[in-house]
Amino acid sequence: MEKIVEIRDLKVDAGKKEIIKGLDMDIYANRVNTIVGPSGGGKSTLLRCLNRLTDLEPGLKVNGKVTFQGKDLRDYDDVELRREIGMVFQRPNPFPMSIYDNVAFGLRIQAKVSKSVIDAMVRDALEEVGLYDEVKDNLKRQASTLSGGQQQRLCIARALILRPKILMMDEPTSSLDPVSKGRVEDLIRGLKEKYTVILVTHDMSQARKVSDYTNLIYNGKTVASSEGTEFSDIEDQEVKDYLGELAE
Amino acid sequence: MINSDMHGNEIKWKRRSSRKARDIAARILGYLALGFMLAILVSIFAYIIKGGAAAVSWNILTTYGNTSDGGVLNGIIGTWELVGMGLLFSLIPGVFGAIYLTQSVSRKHVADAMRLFTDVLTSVPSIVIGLFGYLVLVIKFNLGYSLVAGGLALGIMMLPYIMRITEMSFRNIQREQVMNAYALGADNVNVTTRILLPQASAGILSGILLAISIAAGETAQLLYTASFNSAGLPSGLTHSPVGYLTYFVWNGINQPSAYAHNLAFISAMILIISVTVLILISKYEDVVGRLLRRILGPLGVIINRVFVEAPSEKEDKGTSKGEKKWKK
Amino acid sequence: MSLVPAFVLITILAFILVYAWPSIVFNGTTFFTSYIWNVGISSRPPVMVRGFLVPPNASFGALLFIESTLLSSGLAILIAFPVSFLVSLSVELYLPGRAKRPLVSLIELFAGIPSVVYGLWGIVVLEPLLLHNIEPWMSANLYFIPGFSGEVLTGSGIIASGLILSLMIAPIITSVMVNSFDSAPSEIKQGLVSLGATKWELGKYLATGYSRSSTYGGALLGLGRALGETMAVLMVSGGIVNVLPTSIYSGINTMAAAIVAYLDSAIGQGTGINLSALAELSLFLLAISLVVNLLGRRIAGRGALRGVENDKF
Ligand SMILES: Nc1ncnc2c1ncn2[C@@H]1O[C@H](COP(=O)(O)OP(=O)(O)OP(=O)(O)O)[C@@H](O)[C@H]1O
Ligand SMILES: [Mg+2]
Repeated sequence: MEKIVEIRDLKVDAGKKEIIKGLDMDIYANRVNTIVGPSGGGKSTLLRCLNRLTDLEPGLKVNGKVTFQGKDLRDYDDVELRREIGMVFQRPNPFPMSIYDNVAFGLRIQAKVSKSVIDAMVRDALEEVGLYDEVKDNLKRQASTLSGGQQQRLCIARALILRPKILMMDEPTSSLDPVSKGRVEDLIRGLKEKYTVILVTHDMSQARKVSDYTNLIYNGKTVASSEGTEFSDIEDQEVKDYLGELAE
Repeated sequence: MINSDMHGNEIKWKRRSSRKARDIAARILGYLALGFMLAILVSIFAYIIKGGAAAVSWNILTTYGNTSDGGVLNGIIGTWELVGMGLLFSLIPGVFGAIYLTQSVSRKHVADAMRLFTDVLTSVPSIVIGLFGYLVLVIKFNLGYSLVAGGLALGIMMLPYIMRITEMSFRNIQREQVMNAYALGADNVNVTTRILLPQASAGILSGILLAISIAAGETAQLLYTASFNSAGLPSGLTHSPVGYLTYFVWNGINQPSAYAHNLAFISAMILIISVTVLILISKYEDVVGRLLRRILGPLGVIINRVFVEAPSEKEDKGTSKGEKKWKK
Repeated sequence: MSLVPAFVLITILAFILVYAWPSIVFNGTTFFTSYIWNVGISSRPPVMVRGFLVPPNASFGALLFIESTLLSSGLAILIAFPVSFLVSLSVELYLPGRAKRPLVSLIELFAGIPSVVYGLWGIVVLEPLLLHNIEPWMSANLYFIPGFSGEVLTGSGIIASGLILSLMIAPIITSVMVNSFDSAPSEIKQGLVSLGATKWELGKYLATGYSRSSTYGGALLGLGRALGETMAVLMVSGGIVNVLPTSIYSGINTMAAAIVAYLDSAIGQGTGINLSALAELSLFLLAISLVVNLLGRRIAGRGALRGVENDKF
C-alpha cells in the first residue's frame, strides 16, 4: 500500500491544554482511512492540521512532522494544499447561494476556466455524488432549500470539483437521517477509486461498512491501527472499555 | 487523470502568485487604512492637547469667562450641571424602560415597537432636538434658556443609549438563572433587585458613561436651550442661561483674538480627555465590572431587604405586578 | 417607562410639524426648487401671502442646503465605506486576534470625539492643508474630472466637510462590519477557507455575500449620521448663501448647519414665518434621517436574522 500522508509525533497545544500529544499515523492512497475515537479526543483537530486550517487559529501551536506526497506540509502553499486536500464538515455548510454557485465556488476562485468547462465540471461533480438527477432542473435554487442529506452531498461535490488527492470527512453522516446516511456511505465506498478518503466517525458499524484501514485515537494519540476494523493488540483497559462501548 | 475535467483536459489553475498578490495588496491597503485612521486620531489628540496645554493656567481653570476674556470655569461646571440634569431626566425612564422591555415577554410586538422607537430616537439630528427644545421647552413651556431646558434636550438624546445598553446587559444574564429564581418563588421585583440589577450593574454603568460622554460633547442641542452664560453660573433652574465647554470651543475659534483661540483649545482639551476616559472605562466595562460586581452584588440584596417585603410563597406572579409596584 | 422614547419622538415630530405648517403652506414647492433663502425686509410692514403675514420679499428655498447635505454626506460615504471595509479586513483577518479589541476601541473613540473638536481640528489642521496643498494640486492635475476644475478659495467646503464627516461615520460602519464578520458562522468561514480561499477572498465574499445586508445596513446607518451632523460641518463648510456650489472646492451650507446659523436671527423676527421655515427645514432633515436610519436598521437587522436562521439546520 502506498502511503500518501505520514504523520510523526504530531503535537497540538491550545495554551494550557495539549489536544494532540505525539500522534503517529499513516494514510494510505486510494483507501478509506477511518479514524475513530472518543469525543474530544482530537480527531477534528487532526483533520484541521492536515489542511492547515489551524493556521487560522493563532491559539493553537502545531509541532511535529507531517509529510504529504513526501513533502513536508509546511512547505506547501496553504491555498494549494487545501486544493489538494478537500474537507467536508460534520454539519452540512452550504453557502447562502444557489446550488450551482456552491459547487462552482472553489473552481471560480482557483481555476482559469471558461463558463462551459465550469458547467461541465459542476455537472460532473454533482453526478459523482449522485445528486445531479435530483437537482438538475433547479440548479439556481438556494442550496439551503435542499434536505440535510442532499446538502451534505452538495458539500462533497463542492470539494470534489477541485479534484483533490485527499478528501477528508469529519463525521459526515452524524446529522443525517438513516436513508441519507446510507447513500453517503455508498458514496464513500465509491470515492476511493479516484481519491484517498479520510473519514472520522463515531459509528463502528459505519466503519465496518466502509473502512479499509482504521486508526483508533485515544487521549491525543494513535493507540491502535489495523486493516479492516478489528484491533487485536490493545492492552490498555480504558481503551478496551471504550471499544466495548463502541461495539454495542 | 485527476487534474482534468471530464474530457481529459488539464484544468488551468490560477497562478497562485496573482491571487497571493491580491491578498497581499488587500493586507497592505488594510494596514494603510488602519494606519491612516490612527494617524488622524493621533493628529487630533496631539493638536488639541498641544494647543490646550500650552495655554492652560490655573487662573483660566478657576475663573469665569465669556469666550474672549477670563477663564472657562463656567464652562466646566455648566457642562457637568447640564449633563447631570440630562442624566436625571434619562436615567429613570431608561433603566425602568429596559426592565419593562426585558420582562414583558408576553407582549413581544409592543416591546419590539418600543425598541424600534428607542433606536430611531438616537437618529434624530441634534439640531432638530435643539430647535424642538427652543420652540417647545424654552418658549412654549416658558422655561427660558436654562439648565432644565438644556438638560431635557440632552436627556432626550441620552435616554435611548441608556435604555438600549441596559436592556442588552439584562439580556446577557443567563436565562436559566432568572428562571431558577422564578421557580424558587421570587417575583418580578425580587428578580430585578437580586439578579438583574446587580448582575447588569457593570453594563448599565457602561451605558451611562457612554451617554455622559456623548452628552458632554454636544453643542447643537444646547445653543438655543441653555444659550450661554458669560457671567458665571446659572442662578436657578429655569430662566437662567448656562455656559458649557463646547460653546467655548465653537465660539472661541470663530473669534479673531488669540486669547479666544486659547480658551477654545483649553476647552477642547478638557472635553477630549474626559470623553476618552469615560469611553475607555465603558469599553473595558468587564474589567471595571468585575470590581463593581464585588461591591454592588451585596448592595442589590440590601436594597431588596430594605425596600421590598420578603416574598410570600402564596403570591401569584403576574408579569406586570412588580412593574406596578415600581411605578409608585 | 419604555413608552417614553416613543412619546418623545412623536412629540418632537408633532411639534415640529405644527411649527413648520405656515412655511409649508407659504412656500409650497419653491422650498425644494429654489436655492434663494431670503428672510425679507423686516424694516417694512409685513404683507399677507396665502393667509400668512410675512416680511416683503421673503422666500425660502432650501435647494442649496439639501444639495450641500447630499454632497457632503455622499463624499463622506464614498471615503468612509472603503476605508471601513479595509480597516475591518485588517482587524478581523490580518492582524492577530488579540490586537482586535484595543484597535476596535480606538476606532470607536472617533465616534466619541465631540463634533466641535472635529470642527476645531478641521479649522486649524485640515483646512490649511486643503487650501495650500491638496486642493491646488487637485485643481491643477485632476481638472479633467467633472467638478474638479475650478478655483480654490478657502479650504472650507465640500471636501473639508466630506472628510470630517467620513471620520465621524467610519467607526459606525467599521463596527457594524466587524460584528458581521464575527457573527458569520465559523462553519461558513472554515468551509470557504478549506476550498482554498485566501483571506482577501474570504473577506470579499463575507462583505458582498454572506454579510451583505450588514454591509449595506452599516453604510446606511453611517449615512444617516452624516446627514444630521451639525457642528463640525457648520465649522468647516464655508457657510455660503444663495449660490449653488460650482466645483468640489466650493463652500456649502448643509441643512443642519443652516438651522444653527439662521435660528439666531429668526428668533427676533416679528412674523414668525422665518422660524417656521427653519422648522420646515428641520422637519425635512428629520424625515430623511429617520428614513435612512430605519432602512439601515431594517437591512442590517434582516442580515443578522438570516445569520441566525442559517445557524440552525
Ligand atoms: N482552537 C482551540 N482552542 C482551544 N481548544 C480547542 C481548540 N480546538 C479544539 N479544542 C479542544 O480540543 C479538544 C479536541 O477537540 P476536537 O474537536 O478535535 O475533538 P474531536 O475528537 O473531534 O471530538 P468530537 O468527536 O466530539 O467531534 C476539545 O476538548 C476541544 O475543546
Ligand atoms: Mg469533531
